[in-house]
Amino acid sequence: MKRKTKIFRGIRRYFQLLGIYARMDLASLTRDAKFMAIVITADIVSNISSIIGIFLLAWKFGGIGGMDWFEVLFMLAYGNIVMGFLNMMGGCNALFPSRIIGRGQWEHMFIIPLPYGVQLTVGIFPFTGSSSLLSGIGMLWVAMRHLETTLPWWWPGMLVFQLIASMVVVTAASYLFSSLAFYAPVQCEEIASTVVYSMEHTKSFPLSGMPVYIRYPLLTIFPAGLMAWFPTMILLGKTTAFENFYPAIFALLLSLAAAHFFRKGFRYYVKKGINRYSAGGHRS
Amino acid sequence: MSKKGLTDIVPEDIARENPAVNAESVTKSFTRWQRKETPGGSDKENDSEKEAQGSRKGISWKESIRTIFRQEKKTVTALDGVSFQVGKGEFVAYAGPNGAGKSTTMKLLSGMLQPTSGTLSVLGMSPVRDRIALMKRLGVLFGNRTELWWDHPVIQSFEWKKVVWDIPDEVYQRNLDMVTELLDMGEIRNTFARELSLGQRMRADLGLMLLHSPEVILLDEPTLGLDVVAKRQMIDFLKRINQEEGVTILVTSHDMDDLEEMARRILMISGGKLVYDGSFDGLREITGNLTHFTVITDGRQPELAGCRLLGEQNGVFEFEVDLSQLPIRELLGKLSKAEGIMDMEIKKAPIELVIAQLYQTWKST
Repeated sequence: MKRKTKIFRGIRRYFQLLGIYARMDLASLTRDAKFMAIVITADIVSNISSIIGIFLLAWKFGGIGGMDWFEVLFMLAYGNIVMGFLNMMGGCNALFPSRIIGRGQWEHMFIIPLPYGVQLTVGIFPFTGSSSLLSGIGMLWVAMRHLETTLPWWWPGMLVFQLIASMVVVTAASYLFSSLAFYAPVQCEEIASTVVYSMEHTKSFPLSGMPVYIRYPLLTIFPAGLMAWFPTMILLGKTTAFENFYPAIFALLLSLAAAHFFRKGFRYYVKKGINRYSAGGHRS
Repeated sequence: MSKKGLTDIVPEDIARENPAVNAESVTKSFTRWQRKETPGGSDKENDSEKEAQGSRKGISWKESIRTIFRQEKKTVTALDGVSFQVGKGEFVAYAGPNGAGKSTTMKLLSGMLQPTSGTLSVLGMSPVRDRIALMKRLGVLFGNRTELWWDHPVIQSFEWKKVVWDIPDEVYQRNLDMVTELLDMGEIRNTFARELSLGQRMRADLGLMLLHSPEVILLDEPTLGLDVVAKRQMIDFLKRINQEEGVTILVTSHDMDDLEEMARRILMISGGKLVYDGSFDGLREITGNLTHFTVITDGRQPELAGCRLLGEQNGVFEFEVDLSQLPIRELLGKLSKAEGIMDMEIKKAPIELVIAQLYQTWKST
């Protein structure tokens, strides 16, 4: 009974924390009508430009690399949902920890009486950071209406499963490379954004029909293929049963490696410190 | 300077049992990158210029390539076996020259760094192992950084802290009212943090730090860059919460006059070692009980053997005297015999001067 109460309290507290960040995000967006209009317009332009090239190519040629137009749209939607959710949850640079480390701003986190994991996951931006997620959901709905496949009953569960695996892959890659910032804070301050953005830019290319020497590296060494294309193949039923679990297995292994190296770097950080600090508070 | 020792002058009346802050033989070493200077380098165009300039040095091309394969590092001991205790309710100044290890100590006490050896505890807890529990009872403020949310009004940062620190409503409201009144924050509460002046920002940061009723406060250069009014407000406020609320305060500052006004005890470090622990008057005794006095005359300069004339303006003469060499009774005797004296004032030597003399001594030893 006590344990249940503790768990319930923990969940309540977590939502309380999410709530304050969400409230602050809304207050930040609505402080000025012009500012709000600029943010929304910039988000729309950014979202369109991120997918328009592939979208138009697929439209013009009736598909790319064996994927028809709506399958490509499905893939773009999937990628937008992955990055949209991470952007929404990754406020306060949680998705780019090398910035926090490189700017010496982890020192703000030391004095907050919350576990680091909680601090990194409660800083949500649901109003200023959700445009990509919303556009992704919209595009997915359009694509689903036009796909000529019968989906089994477990398909929504598989969609969520693959989305989680893709998000873990991106986050783990970011944290793995960010570990370097503990040792070289100046040089590696932007390494997480470089990794994440290069994966994001590559994720929109359908890899069907590509030679294996391009496809395999993009599913292993530089796993941008796991952000949209490969999960799309799984969700459209174009893979084997084993392949269906490949993104999850890869995500698990990558996150274990990231956790190991990040912890190692963190231990180095608290022993050596970082003689660097960028003013402007701990969320910029 | 008197022959009195510089170390271990600890006031006896300070409670040592169950201290708020306890440091035992704390050593903290860092590794720093180094690069050799080489005369001239390999830039031939500048050779004649360098010859003309004699000893001008730089990092040569060769040296830049060499360090790819063989880096040079230097181990720096920021703190070397430092031990001290701060009793509950004490207001202690922590001072030392630049690079002495003040900020390192503050970072160690707030869990931002781990000591290389030795043990540290604050309120009986380890800053690293018991971080979460400790931070609910500890307040930390670094003068050169802010905990405020930059793009939000100050009150929003306060509300954020209430939720994150899980501060009960009545405690939050009581502290909010207190900091608003004592720090004169009525006008700035609704202002965006980025719009605040430095003094206002520091007041807001101090208010934010106090919302969870911390029992121990660590302040690193809290008066940095503040004007006299803002500094006055901050000092008065800190003294008040120390006296009325019994909050333990450990503060660093470069401004010794500020420190003397705030704290009753001073810990001094130099070269990573604790070199003094005691009262401010005790510090003066170390440097020879230097005292300044001003004499107003009808224009004639009084002849006072054993006193050093510091300056004169319109018949006002300022002297410096070492009372350990020339006792006050003898000084007054000399003054009574001097001609033309109309008035006089004796004052302690500014603590800045005392410290400057100490720093010079430490440098030369």
